[in-house]
Amino acid sequence: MIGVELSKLFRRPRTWLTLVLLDALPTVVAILLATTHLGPRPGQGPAFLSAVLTNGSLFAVAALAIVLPLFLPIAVAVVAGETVAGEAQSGTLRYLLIRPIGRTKLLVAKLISVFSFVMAAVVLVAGTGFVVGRLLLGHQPLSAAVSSVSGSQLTPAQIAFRTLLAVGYVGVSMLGVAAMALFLSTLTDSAQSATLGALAFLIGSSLLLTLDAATSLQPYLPTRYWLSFVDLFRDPMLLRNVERGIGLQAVYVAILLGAAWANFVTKDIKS
Amino acid sequence: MRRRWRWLVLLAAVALVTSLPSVVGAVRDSLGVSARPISAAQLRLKILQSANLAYSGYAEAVGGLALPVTGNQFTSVSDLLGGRSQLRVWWRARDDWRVDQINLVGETDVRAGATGTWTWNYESNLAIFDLNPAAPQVRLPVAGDLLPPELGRRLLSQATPDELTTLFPRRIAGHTATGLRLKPSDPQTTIDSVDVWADQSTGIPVRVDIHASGSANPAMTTAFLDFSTAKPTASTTAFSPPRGARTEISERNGLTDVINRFGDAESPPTLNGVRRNSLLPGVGAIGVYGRGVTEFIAAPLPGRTARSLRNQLTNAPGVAKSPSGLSVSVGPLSLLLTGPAGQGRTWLLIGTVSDKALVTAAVELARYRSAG
Repeated sequence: MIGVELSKLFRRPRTWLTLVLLDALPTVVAILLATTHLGPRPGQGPAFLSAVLTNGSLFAVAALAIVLPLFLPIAVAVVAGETVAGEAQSGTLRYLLIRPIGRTKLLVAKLISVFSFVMAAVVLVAGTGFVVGRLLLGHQPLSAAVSSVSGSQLTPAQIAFRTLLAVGYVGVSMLGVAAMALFLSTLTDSAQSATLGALAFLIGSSLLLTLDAATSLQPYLPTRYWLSFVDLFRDPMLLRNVERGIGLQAVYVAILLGAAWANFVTKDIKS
Repeated sequence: MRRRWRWLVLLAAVALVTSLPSVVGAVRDSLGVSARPISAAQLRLKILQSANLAYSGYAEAVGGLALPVTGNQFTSVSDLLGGRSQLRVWWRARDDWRVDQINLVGETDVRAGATGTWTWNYESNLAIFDLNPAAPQVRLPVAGDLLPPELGRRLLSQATPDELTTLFPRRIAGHTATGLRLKPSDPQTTIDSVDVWADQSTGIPVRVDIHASGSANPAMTTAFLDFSTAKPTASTTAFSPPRGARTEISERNGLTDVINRFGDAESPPTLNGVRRNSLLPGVGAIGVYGRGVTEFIAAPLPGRTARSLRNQLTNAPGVAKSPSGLSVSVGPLSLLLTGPAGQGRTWLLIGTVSDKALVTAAVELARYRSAG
């Protein structure tokens, strides 16, 4: 069942188109930086974008910072919003459930395919960022030390390790969006509605993060700790917000998937 | 019914998950909290004597004291006092420490060593070395001043025993902290109280709350969220500029130096019946009046600085115009820029005293300069 769902997801041209578009933005940014050599001013622009002008290896994490606020969650919401509602919309959900498998198993299979997409997207963005960064930006040798955010020197092995941690963390950060879109996907027969609902959830969270009046709510907002992967590149690493970010995503995932399960296993399938 | 039990299970799980942190926190905070008999004066002494003890941690300072002035060095001060500052600190000794002010995409670090102080800004890729680590007695606030140990000791430095009471201990950042409440006795003060919570075993302040008169919420709070009394390693505080970074030697031309050099006036020995602070005598043109948490500063501004400040205050919301000048109050902070423009020397008066006290001081300054 899981294999079927995975193969269905990755055989769709639109899945690959989404991944290509996701990679296109950081690639365009790298080309612009390489041709103009103009980094953002201090305090402006995505994280690490100034640093990549001297060391292209860091463009792997800069690429994540570029797509994280908007493009990555949109891609995840589109794919996750389609999981159940897309089947209902195209009239295949009823036939899918005729097969001798439980609805819980089907939901788990959908879930694993969405999580696989999330991790594939994050790894691809970081991988493309690394290759593009090495080819176009900051031609320091791979063996050269890289400055941490705190100004100390990190060895290539340390940078590689922290980049892997950042990739994993960004992937985990997207699971909350995926779970929300999946839950909404079980509520409606329209994939677009599920996607837009998940995006509205994120926009609401991002808006509340800018309001001083919402300070007491902010530690519980799903987007609160998204950019905390930057803390992995401080010296010593600051794990406080990273730990909270992982914990918060785990709670959102558990609750939203629980809601998706509670709704889907007893839902009347009409299409 | 079949539908309903699943939702009930989910609701129960949500209730459990959302209440768990506060339940665990409440249980953890109630454990190990016991009051040790100590007088307010003893506790103050213990806090002041903790200045040489090592510690490290992560602190957050939240202020509501954003004055409506920007430009030059005012913007950073306004952000510091009016926003949320995230600070990491490693303190080994008075001349060996590191304070990082972090933000979402970078950080600004200050590292003090025996030979001087490095300031590192990641986003600018810039390291500035200050050969003279001795800070001037009067200067604009910096991030390190908001650390609970620094702010707590500063606020308690001139408190008298009759202004102090102890508070029941509480848990802060995993440590039992004993509280000390300072209620200033000066009738002109705009500070209602200052609560300083210090680690029970070492006396290092771990939380400070400043309450303005007539306000329920603190005007400023700074507290450790992670705290350790273990001595940090020397490598944590050491610094050498990374390869490819720009480096500069500081020329130390801060605003207070400019005022001292170009202010063209000397503050009088007393203002509004208040003497210059005996602990801060050598600040040249700038006068610091009062004691402890009830203080105000009188600074003669050079023409260009005065014009810039006047233009900003004229257009800022909440600023009142009077014959004495332009005045504004933010929380317990009162500011008065004497005026009007083009009529003699301009003085900046700012402090934790009432507007009325600053107006009286402005009138005395006008007489003082006429007599001088």
